[in-house]
Amino acid sequence: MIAPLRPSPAQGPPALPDGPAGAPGAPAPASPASVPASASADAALIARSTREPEAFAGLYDRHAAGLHRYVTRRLGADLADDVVGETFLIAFRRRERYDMSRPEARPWLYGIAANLISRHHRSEQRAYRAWARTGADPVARSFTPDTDAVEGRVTAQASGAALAAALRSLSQGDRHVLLLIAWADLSYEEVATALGIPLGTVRSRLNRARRKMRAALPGIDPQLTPEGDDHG
Amino acid sequence: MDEMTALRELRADAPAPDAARLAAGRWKLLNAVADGSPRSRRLALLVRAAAGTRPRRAALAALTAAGVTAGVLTAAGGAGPGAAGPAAAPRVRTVAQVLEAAATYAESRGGAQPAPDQWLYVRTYDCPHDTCRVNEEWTRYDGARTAMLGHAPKNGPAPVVVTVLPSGATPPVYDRGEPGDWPQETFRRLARMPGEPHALLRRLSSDPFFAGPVPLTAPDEQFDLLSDLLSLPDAVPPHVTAALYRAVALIPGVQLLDRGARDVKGRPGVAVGFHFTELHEKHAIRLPSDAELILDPRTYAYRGSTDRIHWQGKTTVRGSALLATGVVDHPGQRPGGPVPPPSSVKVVELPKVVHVGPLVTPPAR
Repeated sequence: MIAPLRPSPAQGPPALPDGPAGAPGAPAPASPASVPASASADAALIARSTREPEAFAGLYDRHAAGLHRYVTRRLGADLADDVVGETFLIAFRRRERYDMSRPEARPWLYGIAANLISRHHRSEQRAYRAWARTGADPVARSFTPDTDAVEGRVTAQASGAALAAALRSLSQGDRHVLLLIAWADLSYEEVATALGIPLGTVRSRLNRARRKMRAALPGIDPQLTPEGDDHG
Repeated sequence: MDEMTALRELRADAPAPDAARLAAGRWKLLNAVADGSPRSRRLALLVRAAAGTRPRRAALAALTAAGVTAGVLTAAGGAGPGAAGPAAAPRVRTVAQVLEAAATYAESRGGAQPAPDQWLYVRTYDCPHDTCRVNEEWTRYDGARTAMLGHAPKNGPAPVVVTVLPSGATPPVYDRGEPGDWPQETFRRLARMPGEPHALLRRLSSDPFFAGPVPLTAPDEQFDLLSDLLSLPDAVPPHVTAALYRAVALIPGVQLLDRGARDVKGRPGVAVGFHFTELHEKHAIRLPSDAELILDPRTYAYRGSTDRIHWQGKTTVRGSALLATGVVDHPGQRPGGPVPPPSSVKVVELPKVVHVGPLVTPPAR
């Protein structure tokens, strides 16, 4: 029913987010597989911004596009504008407390964004609920507002409704873990850093979330097969 | 295909932001960087200081409400310009009095239940994002079907898309109940609830169907739940609606915003406000916001809800205004309106979903 877009996401380096590669003149949104050189630049940029605040814009150029797409995927584009804007303002205010031993700032930013996404918990839940009940995803409809009739969406995404119902059943903490891995391509370690939880908690939350996803999909053995989990 | 692959395909067509969106965000960031934001810091201090004492908080909230509706304060009651105020309503002063009036009005309403195969019609004006629009929705009273309107073709009525839940589906209750999806079940459960507001609040806060698996103890959670239930037309027995209003009055921090309040559609009303304080903890950030339960200025019936989120000296308004409700016999039919021709009705059956998560006991049918 759903044709795989990516052959085997669990193996190999995580794919870059789809779509245009970031801001004009900015590097592509960083992924866990990004070269360390760009990562070390994050911490260096933040350090510099404590003396020259404007340097913080470099962090925005590096990460805003990828973060925006992730938040859009969870809440829709309008709320993504708010959440991404607030994420960087909060990050800016807290830059002096940034742990400089972490060269890569992506987990830090996605962690701040996760808290802000939680603020829109009810809006996110409503969208999953509407999707599960009507078969049409209001958030996806906001991507391309005018092109498609409701009923086209309904039939095309019939099995999406099953996953939406399962996503809705997750606790906010479990959902952050699952979607940071599936939609933002963060590694387990990065998720642990982002959410400020132990690695073991990341694993147990992910397992629980995956079991629920699995149970919701028709025609899949609900037994959870261990896969090459650590892609970080 | 495994579940992670399926999940990765969900909303995979989410667009990356275009250059204009990114530039706007960058500009805002640089602005904040440049001015060192003394203004926003002052505002945050003011909000925190004001939260300390009730009179000051009330004063601030009134100030905020007046500020955001500046220029429309004198309009009233749907009458023409020059009207002096809602003349019909006696002047009530406290939040408890307003909620008591709302309760009395609710008690006076008839409480006849629709038949299980009748449909609840709701028309709302919703502002979930920066744009607002009118939504129409039908829910069959037994909760087994929902309906909405598809896009209208060039010449002809919009198709009515009816979604059928898989047979045997029962109300799934996840981390928080969705009473609005199952009106009949909601009515049944509420009808057994006590009419005494303290007891009602206690029962609701610990009933998984309404509160989810974890009992709600914080005032903000309880305010949320009560305003949710009050927004459900025809799914709440009148005497329980009355008790719900009285229970709102028990929540610490609720207050009356009776001057210049409007719903998101711009209609004047009486607002019962609740201030959600700013939280800045390691794993919880919440901006200060003022939630408002909007009541009809004459009858005090439920009219909608509004959230004013305060950030960087700017107030963002989100919310919903109830435009019409009613009970009809057919999906796509508006109260008093014609039955849509069968050719315009499309029925979509959802595949069977294995519901997971903390389920409550399914209702006896």
